Order: sequence, then structure tokens, then C-alpha cells
Amino acid sequence: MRLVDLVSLAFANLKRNRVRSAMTLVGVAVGVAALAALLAYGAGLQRTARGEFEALDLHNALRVTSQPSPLGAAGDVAFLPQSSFDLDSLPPPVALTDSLLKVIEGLDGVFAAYPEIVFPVRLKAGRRAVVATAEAVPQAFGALPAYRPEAGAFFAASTDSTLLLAPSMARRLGFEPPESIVGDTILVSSATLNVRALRRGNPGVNFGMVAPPVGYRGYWLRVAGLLPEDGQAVSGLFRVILPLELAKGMRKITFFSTLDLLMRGAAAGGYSAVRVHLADPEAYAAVRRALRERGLYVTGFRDQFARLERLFLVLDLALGIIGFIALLVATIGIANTMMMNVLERTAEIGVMKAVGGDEGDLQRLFLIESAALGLFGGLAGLGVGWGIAALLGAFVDRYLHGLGLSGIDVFYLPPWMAGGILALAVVISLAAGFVPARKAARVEPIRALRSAT
Amino acid sequence: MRSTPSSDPVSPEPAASEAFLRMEGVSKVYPMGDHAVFALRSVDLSVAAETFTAVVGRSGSGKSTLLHLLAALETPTAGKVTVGAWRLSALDRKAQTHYRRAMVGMIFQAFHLVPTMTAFDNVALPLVLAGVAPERRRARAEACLEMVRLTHRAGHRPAELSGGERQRVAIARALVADPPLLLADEPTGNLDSTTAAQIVELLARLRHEHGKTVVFVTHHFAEVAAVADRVVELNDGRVVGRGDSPASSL
Ligand SMILES: Nc1ncnc2c1ncn2[C@@H]1O[C@H](COP(=O)(O)OP(=O)(O)OP(=O)(O)O)[C@@H](O)[C@H]1O
Ligand SMILES: [Mg+2]
Repeated sequence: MRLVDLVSLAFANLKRNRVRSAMTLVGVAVGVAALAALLAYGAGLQRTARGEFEALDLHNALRVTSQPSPLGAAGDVAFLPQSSFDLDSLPPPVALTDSLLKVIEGLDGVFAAYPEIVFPVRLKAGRRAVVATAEAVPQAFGALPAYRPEAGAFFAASTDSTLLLAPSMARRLGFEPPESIVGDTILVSSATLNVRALRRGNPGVNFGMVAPPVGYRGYWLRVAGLLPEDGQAVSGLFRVILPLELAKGMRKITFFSTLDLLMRGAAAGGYSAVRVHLADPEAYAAVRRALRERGLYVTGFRDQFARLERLFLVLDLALGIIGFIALLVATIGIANTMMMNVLERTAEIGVMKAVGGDEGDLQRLFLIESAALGLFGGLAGLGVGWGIAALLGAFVDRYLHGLGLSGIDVFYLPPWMAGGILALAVVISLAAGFVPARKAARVEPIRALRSAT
Repeated sequence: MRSTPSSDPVSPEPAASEAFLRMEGVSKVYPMGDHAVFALRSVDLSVAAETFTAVVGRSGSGKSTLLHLLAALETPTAGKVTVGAWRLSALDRKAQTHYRRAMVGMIFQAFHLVPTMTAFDNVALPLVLAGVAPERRRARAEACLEMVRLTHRAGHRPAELSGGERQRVAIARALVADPPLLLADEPTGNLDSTTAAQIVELLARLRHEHGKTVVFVTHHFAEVAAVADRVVELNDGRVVGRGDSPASSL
């Protein structure tokens, strides 16, 4: 039999039982839509994370500490003995001083080395206040694309009382359009430790409530420019950038966890952590090795991202399995439909054999029917899945816009993934049609002819 | 083969050398649990080409079984079946299909048309199954519908046709691949006597005008008596009577 004839006969057969075929299609469509939506969700998360990572140029970033960081990459801790957090058993730590920074900056492939200064701040403009993370960067960063402002300019000098922030932050501070914030001065408050209260050893009492030994210090800073936000919407939610020397001089609490604080207790002076930015990602391994040879502990953001990617893989796998089960259930529907089709058409199959039908052709006919159910159910499912994703995506975007943020792709279905899902739907539909198709091929024409009379 | 004169012109049984269709010692046994059903018991039969043979017998006497063996839809338990150059008992499944495509047109009591297809598509079906190109299919199907005088009904589905028309569609389907052998299993069984007569007349005409060899199973010998060259009577799987029908003397 010619392939065109097989295909058109298969379609004619599917049309015979419109309701049954349609219900089977709906089943497959739901399964495929579920699989597509779940995988697209995983891929969307991953893409957003990767986008941020790349926009922030993090694959070029290393974090250097004088002690193994419990928050560092697995590799940093792994070589230590079990009691690794007994800090006294370690070789004496290398102090992270300005002179060491100079040495690090002299290494091949290093673009900049600077102390890690990251601390929480509260921004205030008029009546609006927003909590953010302030991060200090050296003047050299003005040359990096990720730090090239889309409005205004990078810091003129490292000691200027200025800052950079994202358009979404400007919106949340009540500036519309966000560019209008450039040149304005806003109040940036940092938390400080109340050393006197700490020394006294008892917390202050304030209107009968126990107050932590914490104070606030405000600085009036001018907004130098708006940072590009593409692909780093989530960072834009909380990040502001300060010039390095200005940040050094600000009073602040720079630790983020008690563990961090405790680890720092044993530090040998100097900075608690240093960030190294590479000029060339190729230099990653060499720089890392050079730093380790100096007795420093290195954590690559790249390693952390690799761990994140592994996590995403597990997530994707879990989502994929759930979606696959949905698709599998739908395929049982195909098997059922095809089995009914074969049983219903047994007499007809017998006649076709009696008038010259070939076993292989009849088997192919039913396989094409189930593959078509898989294909069209799959296409419909992708359409439905796309619709659901677009709808939910629009909701998320509206929500983010409400917060003054640019939208992110919650769902992302690359063409190869859509193609793969479709192929999977067709393949497992073929598998589902296999037994019915074999049954059709094996129909005894005599038995069929006799039973029909 | 057919040009060789018969050694005995009055004998209804052609000489073996001249037979188009031949059964030698053919038995068909269906095992049924601990006993066996003998559908045919060592049947010997020869049929010359371009003849009209009627097969009669009581229900269950083995008539359909005989036709199915000739169509290679079943294989004999014992004996040998030959049609033209084909040794049917030796064919595998694939060869059986080829044999049916090349040699056999089948017609059934229940018509067995595909209900969702038009008359035209039903007629063309064997050619579709055989992988014939659409243009040739069209020409052949139109010609065959013309032969059974149903051109005007080509676009109708079986449910829109009368019993007689359905059977004529089935006959057109049997003719479409131009097989030399037509096997009809009680084709008139579901039809009134007038319509039945038309079907018999049509098959007789096909034999005369197109040189078909017709084997026609019926319960009512009377309806084919005028056109049959000979009659084979089966009883309990045995050939109990064979002879010239009155018509063969025409
Ligand atoms: N698949 C089968 N299994 C068992 N017995 C069978 C089978 N097919 C046919 N038979 C038996 O073989 C015998 C001959 O059957 P066949 O159909 O050839 O008779 P028939 O002469 O065509 O009868 P009818 O005039 O009723 O059509 C019957 O006794 C029937 O029960
Ligand atoms: Mg019968």
C-alpha cells in the first residue's frame, strides 16, 4: 500500500468515531500540556537564574577568604578533616590586606580585586522607603557592560557620595519615569552596632521593650545613574551599587549570619573577604590555583552556579516525571481507543485481507492512527500549554510591574524541547498502538467473515 | 491449455491437464476439543477456465470452506489445491496475499462493504491495498462500476443503496483487479428472487464477456440452473453429485 493511501485511510478511520477520537485527543492534549507546562516552568526558572548570573558577569567572579567558608563551594571544605571547623587546627590564616589585593590584581587574567563590602541598607525618598542590599564596586567596574548605566553615569570618583540602582528600585521609590531619579539625592541608612550598649552587656530598655544594641546611620547620596536591568530583574529588586571608598567609610554591620560573625572572630585582621573579578573567564582555573597556593580559600560563583544547575536538573527531572506520568495516562487512553477500533472493525479487517490487504499494511494502518492521535493531541497540548504559560506569565508580569519591576519569563519552552515533547507523544502513542495494531494484523479473515454474517 | 480438446466431451469434469482449478484429495478438519469437525473429506474436483460452476448442498456441508480454500484464506488439512500456476497449499502468508490480489475476486452473502466508504471507494479498495497508482485506480473503478451499471451511484455509501445495488458494488470490487477467478458465496442469499436473478445474470455475463471462471455457492440450484455449466453437490464434506447442468448443453 502507498503511504499516502495509508495515511488518508487512517484519517478517514479516525473521523468515523469523532467523539471517541476527540476524547482521546483531549486526553493526550492534557497530558502533553501538563508535561510542557512543567518542563517550561523548570526551564524558565533556570533561564532566569542563568540570565541573572550572566548579566552580573558572575562567571568571572571569585570570592577569596582567609579561612574555609562554611558557605563556600563543596570543594573548599572537602579536603579538610572531619573536624574542619575546629579553626585552631588550621594553618594560620593569611590576612586579606590592601597589599595582598595589589598582589592579586597583578596575577594574569585578573581584572580587579577588591574587598567584599555587602550590607543591608534602607533607602528613603520622600515618604517611600525600600530595603536593599548595598554592594561596593571599584572604579574599574565602570568598564564592565553590566555596570554601564542606561541613564546617568558611573561614579566619577570612588569617594563620591553617589549610588547606582535599577529602574525598578527607582519606581518603588516613587520615580516615574525611573530616569527622573538620576541626579536626585536620597537618604541611605545603614544599621550600626551600638558598641556602648554591647559593652555594658545589657540591652537598652526602650518604652518597656527590649531593644537590640543596634543604631542607624543616615547618608545623603546622589543617584548617579540607573543600572541596566535586563535579565537581572530579581537582583534589581534588592541591589544598589556604591563606590568602593565611600562604602569603606560608611558605618555598617557587614555580617549576614551568626555563623559568619563567629568565623570572623578568628580572622587575622584585614578584610573578611575579597572579591576577584577576572578579565578572562579562561583564566579561572589558573587564578584559583594561584590563590590557593598563597594559602587563601577560593569560592567561585561559577562553582556555585554549577551546583545550582545540578539542583535545577533534579527539579527538571522531578517535573518531567510528573508530566510524563500525565502523558502516560493519556497514552493508555490511546491504547484503549485503538483496541476498541480494532475490535469494532474486525469484520472489515477480515474483508480487507480477503480482497488483498497485506498484514504489514494493516498493522501500519493502525499504527498511523495511534501516531496521529499522539501527534495531533500533542500539537493541541502544546497549544494549550502555551496558552496556559502565556496567561500565567501575563499575571506574573502584571504583578511584577505592579511592584515596579520588569517582567521575567516564568515559562520558557525552547523549540527543541517542544519538538522533543511532541516526538515523545508520538513515540509512546506508537507504543500504545502496537498491541492493537498487531491484533489487527493477526485477524483471521475467515473468522471475521463468518462472525459478521 | 484450454485449447486442448476434452478427452470426453460429455464429462463435466475436465481432464486434469486442462483444469484451471483443481482439488486433489482435499480435506479440511477443524479440531474442536476432543473431537474434530470434518468440513471437507477428500474432495477431488477439477474446473475448467471460463466456466460457471454451481456448488450446492445443505447448510454445514462445506461449501464456504471449499471457497475459502480456493481463495487461499484457509489451507487444507490434507490434499492439494491448484489454481492456474499457483500451488495454494504451498503458499506462505505473503504469497497468499499476492495470490488473492492477482487471481481472486470474492463476493459474499453479506456484501461486506466498508460502510464509511462510497461505492466508488469500496470498488477501488483492492487496488488501494495493492498499491496501485490513483489514476489507474480511478479508471479501473469507473470501468467496473460501469460494468455493473452503477456509475450514477458512485458517490453513495452502502447504507444509501439497495441490497441488489450493494451486491453489484461488491461484484465491481471483485472485478476491479481483473482476476480470472470469481468466488461467490451465496451472493443472492440476502436478495429477493428478481434481484437475485439479476445478480446471477450479471455473473453469467462476466463469464461470457470477460472470460471469468465463476464458482457460485447457492442454496437454490434453480436460480443458477439456466446459466451454470455444471453443478457440484456437497453433503457432509463430500462431493456427492457432480454433473452437467441443463444449461451446459446450450
Ligand atoms: N472455524 C471453524 N471451527 C470449527 N468448525 C468449523 C469452522 N468453520 C466451519 N466449521 C464447520 O465446518 C462445517 C462446514 O462449514 P461451511 O461453512 O463450509 O458450511 P456451508 O456449507 O457453507 O454452510 P452454510 O450453507 O450454512 O453457509 C460446518 O459443520 C461448520 O460448523
Ligand atoms: Mg457458507
